Amino acid sequence: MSRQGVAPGAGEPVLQLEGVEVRFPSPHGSFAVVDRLSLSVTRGEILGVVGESGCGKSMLARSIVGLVPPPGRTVGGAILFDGVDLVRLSPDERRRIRGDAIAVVPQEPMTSLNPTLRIGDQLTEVLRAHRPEMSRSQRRARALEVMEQVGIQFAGQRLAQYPHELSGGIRQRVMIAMALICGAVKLLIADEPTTALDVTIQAQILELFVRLQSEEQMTVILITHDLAVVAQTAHRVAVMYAGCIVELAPVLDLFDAPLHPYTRGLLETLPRRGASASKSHLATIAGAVPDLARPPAGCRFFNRCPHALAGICDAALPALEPVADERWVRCHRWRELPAVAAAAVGAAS
Amino acid sequence: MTAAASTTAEVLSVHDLVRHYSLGGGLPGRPRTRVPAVDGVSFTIPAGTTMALVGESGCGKSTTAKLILQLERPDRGEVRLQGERVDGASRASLNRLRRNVQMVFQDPYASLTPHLRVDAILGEPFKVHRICKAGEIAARVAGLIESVGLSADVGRRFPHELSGGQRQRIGIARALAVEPALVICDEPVSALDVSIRSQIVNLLLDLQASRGLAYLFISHDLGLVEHMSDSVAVMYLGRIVETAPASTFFAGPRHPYSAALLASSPTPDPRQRGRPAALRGEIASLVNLPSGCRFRTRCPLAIARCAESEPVLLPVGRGHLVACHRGEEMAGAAALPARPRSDPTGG
Ligand SMILES: Nc1ncnc2c1ncn2[C@@H]1O[C@H](COP(=O)(O)OP(=O)(O)OP(=O)(O)O)[C@@H](O)[C@H]1O
Ligand code: SF4
Ligand code: SF4
Ligand SMILES: [Mg+2]
Repeated sequence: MSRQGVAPGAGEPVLQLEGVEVRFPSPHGSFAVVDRLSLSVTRGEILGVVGESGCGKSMLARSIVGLVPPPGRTVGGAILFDGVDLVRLSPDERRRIRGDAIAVVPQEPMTSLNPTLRIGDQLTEVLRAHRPEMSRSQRRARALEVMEQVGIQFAGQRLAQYPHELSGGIRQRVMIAMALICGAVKLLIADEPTTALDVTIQAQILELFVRLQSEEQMTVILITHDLAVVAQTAHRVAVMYAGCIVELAPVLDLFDAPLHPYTRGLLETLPRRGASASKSHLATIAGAVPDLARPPAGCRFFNRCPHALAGICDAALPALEPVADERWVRCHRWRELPAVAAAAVGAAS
Repeated sequence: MTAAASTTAEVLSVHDLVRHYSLGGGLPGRPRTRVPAVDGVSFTIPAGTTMALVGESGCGKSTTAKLILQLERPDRGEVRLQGERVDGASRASLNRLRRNVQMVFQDPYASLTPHLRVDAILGEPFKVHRICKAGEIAARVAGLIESVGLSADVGRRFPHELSGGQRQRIGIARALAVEPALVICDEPVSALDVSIRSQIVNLLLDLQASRGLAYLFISHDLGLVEHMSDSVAVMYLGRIVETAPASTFFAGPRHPYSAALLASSPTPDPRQRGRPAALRGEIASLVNLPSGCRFRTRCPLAIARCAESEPVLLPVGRGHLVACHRGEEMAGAAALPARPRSDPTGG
């Protein structure tokens, strides 16, 4: 395990997070919504980040681009992008990188577009900020080009339209076009890019991300609560729970042999395909997520975990440990658990 | 009601429901356009069974629900409850409807009165419908709270003091107060987290088994639909384009749109990537319906005939109706083109 001490990752890193902490103030001191998180994102991969509402996915994305909403703050750690620590940059320097080398497709396309501005003006605005040397006609030409790249038909007409005149799917494509327009994006962060869309449109948008990654060698961080979406698109997956990564693995390993009890629980709750299981009970995860303002001393999954051992699991927060090639897990008992699960299956059959 | 009767009798049938909305009226130079939000919808739900209604946003699913509940008056068509026609103008008929058909909403946050405690929210239907004596309400409410798996102390709380899953349980409990025969569930779990979702699904299944409830289950999650339903109806732009027993449907849908829906809905299995999928283009607009088949602007199988005449629902198998000129040829998703895939092994 030579990688111990290095941020969990796979190949050549484009982005490295080391102990990143996002905190919000509260009447009783402050609390972490992203808790000393370390992660390395490999150049040219699609990294899926999954987890339930409130687990810190969006705050993680926002801290990378320096957009944590006040009074929240990124208080600790380093975020190395191509070797430069983003946390230490001035707001101006950070703004220069954001929208240029790193772009974000935010969670709510409707609230992120300006309802009073035409699509064309919103797109070229990005260029005005990042490419002041371009002429008006060059900006317009680039806007048309990028709209076609993301599959927007009748791009010329769309430039003159307002956001409310577009369908949800086209609005989301406009957001992606806006992220790509400078033409220098190395890292694209998409926060729930398809949650508000119908499945046939979702399939088109996911296909677009896959194309950008494979044809343009873009690195994509895809944030979602939907395990099926990561199964369809990601190369590696980080599972988050209550501000922490609890498991990080290549996608096949994660779905074939999940190690963390939370990951297993999530996968087991999904309905099985095929009529045989129809109307049978789905597996459940008992209880609810702990209050982040008063996190438990030990494992954050303690109150819901079927394998929790008092005295061990609630004594200290387990570390995210390397367990095999490219696999990491945050659980005191991961070594024993495959055996526990096998015994349970044996007893049931 | 005996078990045998409850499986054969139909609890609800709708016949040729039509509802047009007017758009853009009033402005000078802008003529009123009438759009067919629901355009000739018919189906039957046997007692104690679940029918799923699926399709993209704006296709008319929720309007259909409102028409059934007479929250909106249909322009044409009829709703029958246990064989008897519902008359939207008669108080007695509406009362009968409200006591037999209830609704559970997608957003448990918005659907509960914020300034009332749970006890009061759940007590209301007993008062409105004079189901029991005032002195018995408290006991009935306690029974309801227990039947949806919550502890009694929840009754003294306000909706904002509950989790999303608890709120949805209260929404279900409120629907159950009148002991309905049918509950319309409009995306009942899509606002909930995965780990809570399965708890609510299990609750709905248990209630169906113990009370013989029928469900009209509106959902875009085909995995859940397969798990929950006895039959499936697919809507596209105001019309039902396919309806079938669930097992038949999932074994091989016959309408190209159904096939695309099934192929587009992502499976939580990284080994099943790049299945045939992805329709091109967006859902057409109700304002500007294409001639002939409404799906032809996106249909990978469209032929000349599809622009000329609109296909009608025709039987292709037992309980299986399809509205497609090529429905006979369609055997599942095999004829649809494949989409690019991302290799799960990397690169
Ligand atoms: N302004 C705020 N003040 C205090 N806490 C906040 C604030 N904004 C967010 N949080 C908390 O930060 C945590 C992480 O939020 P975040 O938006 O990152 O979650 P998420 O994983 O993206 O959830 P979702 O799936 O709902 O988008 C949550 O527990 C949330 O309650
Ligand atoms: S550390 Fe203990 S409580 Fe936490 S996930 Fe592992 S077994 Fe469960
Ligand atoms: S009728 Fe034609 S256009 Fe419509 S679904 Fe069938 S093949 Fe496609
Ligand atoms: Mg979020």
